[in-house]
Amino acid sequence: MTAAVDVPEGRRTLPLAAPGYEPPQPRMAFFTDTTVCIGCKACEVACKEWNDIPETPFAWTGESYDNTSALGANTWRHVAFIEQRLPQITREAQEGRFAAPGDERVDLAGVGTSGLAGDPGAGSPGDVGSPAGGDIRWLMSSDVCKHCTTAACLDVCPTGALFKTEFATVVVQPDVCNGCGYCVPACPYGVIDRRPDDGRVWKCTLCYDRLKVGAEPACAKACPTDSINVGTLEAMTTMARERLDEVVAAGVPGAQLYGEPGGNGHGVDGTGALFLLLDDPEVYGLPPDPIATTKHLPSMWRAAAVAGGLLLAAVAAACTGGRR
Amino acid sequence: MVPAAELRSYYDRPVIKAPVWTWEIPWYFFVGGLAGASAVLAAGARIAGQGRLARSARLAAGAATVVSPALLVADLGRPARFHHMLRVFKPTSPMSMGTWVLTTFGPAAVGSAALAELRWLPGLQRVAEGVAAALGPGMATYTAVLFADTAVPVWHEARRDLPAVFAGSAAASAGALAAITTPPRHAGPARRLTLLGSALELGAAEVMRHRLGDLGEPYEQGDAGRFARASRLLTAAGGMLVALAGRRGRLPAAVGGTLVLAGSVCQRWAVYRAGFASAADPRYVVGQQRARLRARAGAPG
Amino acid sequence: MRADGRPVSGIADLRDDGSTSCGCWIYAGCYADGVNQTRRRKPGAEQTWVAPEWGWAWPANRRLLYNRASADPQGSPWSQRKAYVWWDAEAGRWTGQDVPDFPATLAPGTEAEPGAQGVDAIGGGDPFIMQADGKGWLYAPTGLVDGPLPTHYEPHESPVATPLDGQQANPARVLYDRKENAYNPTAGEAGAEAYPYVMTTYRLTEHHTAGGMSRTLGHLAELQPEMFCEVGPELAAERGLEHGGWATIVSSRTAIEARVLVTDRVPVLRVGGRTLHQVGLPYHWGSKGLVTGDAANDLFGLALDPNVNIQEVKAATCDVLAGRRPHGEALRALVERHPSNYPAHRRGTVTT
Repeated sequence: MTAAVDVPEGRRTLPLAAPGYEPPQPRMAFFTDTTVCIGCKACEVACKEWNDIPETPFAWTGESYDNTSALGANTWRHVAFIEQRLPQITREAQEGRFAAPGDERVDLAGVGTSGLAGDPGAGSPGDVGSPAGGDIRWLMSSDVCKHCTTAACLDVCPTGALFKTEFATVVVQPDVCNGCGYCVPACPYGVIDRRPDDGRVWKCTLCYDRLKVGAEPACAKACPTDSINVGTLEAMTTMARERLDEVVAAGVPGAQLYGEPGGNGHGVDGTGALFLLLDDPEVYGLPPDPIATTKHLPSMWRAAAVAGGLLLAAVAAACTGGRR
Repeated sequence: MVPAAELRSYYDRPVIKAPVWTWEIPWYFFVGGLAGASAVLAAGARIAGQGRLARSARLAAGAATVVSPALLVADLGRPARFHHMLRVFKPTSPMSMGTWVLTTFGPAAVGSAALAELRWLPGLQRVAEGVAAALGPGMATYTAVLFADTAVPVWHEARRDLPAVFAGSAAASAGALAAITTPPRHAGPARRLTLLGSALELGAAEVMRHRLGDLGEPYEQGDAGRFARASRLLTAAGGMLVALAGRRGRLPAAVGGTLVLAGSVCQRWAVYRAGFASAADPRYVVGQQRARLRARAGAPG
Repeated sequence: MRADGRPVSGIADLRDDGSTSCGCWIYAGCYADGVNQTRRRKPGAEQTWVAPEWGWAWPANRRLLYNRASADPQGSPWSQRKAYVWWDAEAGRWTGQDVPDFPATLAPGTEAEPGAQGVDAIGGGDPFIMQADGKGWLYAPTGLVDGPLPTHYEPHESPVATPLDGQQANPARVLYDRKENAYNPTAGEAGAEAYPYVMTTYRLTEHHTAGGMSRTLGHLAELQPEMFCEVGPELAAERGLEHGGWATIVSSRTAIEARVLVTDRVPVLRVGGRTLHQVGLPYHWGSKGLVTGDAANDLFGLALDPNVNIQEVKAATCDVLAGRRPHGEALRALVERHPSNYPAHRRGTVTT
């Protein structure tokens, strides 16, 4: 039904997108619009079903409705739930949206509000009513592997198990991975992880097998509100920026894009998974300024060379002083 | 202030994943450093004409080299696939580079020791000894780059200093082991190396903690803090003992050398554990990145 | 769908000669012009307040059924402020903010022919076109056990007296007043203060009804692995409930235990001049499956709606205690002794 995977004109790839593939394919990417996420977790389940991922340990967290807690070897899509009480948030935006122009205000008392601040019932002269107080908002966001342009996991992989596909997505080859675990702390987003009973690392493949046959990834297919979109990076970037403009124009506070090369995707040269967030990244458990540390490798090797030199010098100095 | 109270997070959950490595890794770092520095010492002693010391160092390098790959392989999630490391040569991966260093260094160090003991093929033994000595500094320091090239703040932000810490620690341990295993009258260079290595290790670690600032907090707290304090104490005390009393007899050399070796082990464990603490607390990850963003924006703070 | 593959633009395009096909008539038009109309996401701020271009509603993208009732018999809006659908005399047809739910050109004054059948019996002033007489019924003398006029009743168990009149609950409700189905005293009855809170049950997206199927599937069980109750911070403070700890919810039937989720999402209500706390209970757990837990439905008694005999599981009264519940005989004793924990002098203080 959806044309999400259709490739618009202009088959262009970013630098470093997917070197070595002829003819070049357009880079594929996610755009997760968290403003329309309803927290149904269909993406998590669809992902696990399609990719045959084992469940995580059953553990109730009390962290709103989130019981899978983070991305990991067995959770390739993870829906975060954030409950916020914000004094002025959303009320005006809601009124602006729902009230007829020139009409008196639509009474939204009780809609999405929780009257817990101050005296319950204040400002509610009626016998039954929702107490006044700060509004709350319930943020939901489906997180996923960022498929970085400069992917630290891939860079540090010593076996070549991690590779860049023709869609410029970052994928682990399970038949190659020997479970050295280096990619795990290398990922600036805390995405990839080792499956203890299996020994290898696992993460989102952006449904490489489905992309190969022109089908959209399972999570996007299952998403009932089109919070998860898939297409060329170009198309997703355009969609994300247009949506951001809409949301900002509607007066929603805190709206920001996540993952653009010119923004907070800077340190990884942009991601293949863009997000529209309604608060700072760290509120969703995302790093505000991630970096592919392999970018600093030259300086690290230089420091190692200097240190190695010091070692040689120490030995030389020690050996020149005679036997005793 | 990096770990400021107003930093926000998702239910205090880690932003990055802690390493999945286990006890083999810090031990490997120690043993690999010991092997690398011992190989250098062996060559140095031989050049200086101190055969007895060279023999001790050669044997130490060879023995340590036998142990280290076992530790590495045991830590793999799929040990039977250790040879998959050898299907690529990848300069962007310190582990890949380390694998090739170890793959070359290992046979050289073991071969050098074996040939020397058996008195076979002296020409080849020299070549092997030279190769091992050339790669020895790499063995001692690549592991620092391996740690530094991760998203773990306490490792990555220490990327300028960590190699010197490891190099010093490796030199100290190689000197200490040689001081233990070599008769005192032949062990002068080993004692001096112990002292120099200890000084380098302690000095570099101090500089590293200072430059890390608030990010270095894990070195003061918990397991990492205990290892760091133990390392300082053991290395300083052992180094002094070896340097001052090591020539008087094998006992003070053995005691002092053992302390230095223990200090060197604790140093690797301190770094290793600090990494876990640093990765587990979103304050370090987010705080450091927020500070970076503020700095980039040119705002004060 | 037309025979040539083009989607129909609405119900009116459907033919009974085989030239069109339709799986469900009310959805005819949801792919009008070949566009997935249900996928439209034009923001509300960029269109009228009815937002006809947000998604699509059956039938015919009509947002309110029987919307001709928003205009008076002469076809003018009852209230200009609430004008919704009205008669455009010049154009000779119904128009408005929404798609009119009425024969488009049936003028307001039109009388149906006496003896007319079906749609022809609908006059220009009869908005309820799917009813035989085109009228909406407030007065329903037949067909219902209760009635004939609609009214408001409190649930069988309520912490408040009805504000409407003296009739607290539906007099025609079906009760089974016996030991194994004991009822909590309702507002105004002795002992009601032992059950001061309102409890309600609901579903989570992660589970299916009582969880019999979804609790056996790992991919669903992991998403909501444990029975929990949702309470506001005030109730938590009042009862000493710890977030992440355990609570025991007590009714006259039994007591169940649940993990405590303290959340601002559960508001404090102010009803009848008093503060009213609510307890939210997802009802997906039971004793079998990969994840197990107490069943919220065990707390509820059978008090049935007189017409369709559905029990009142969405609103009843309860008490909440901190900690886990006992088992076996001790559980029975807890439930039976519960009212006696509320001394007489306190009983009198609760206003209803």
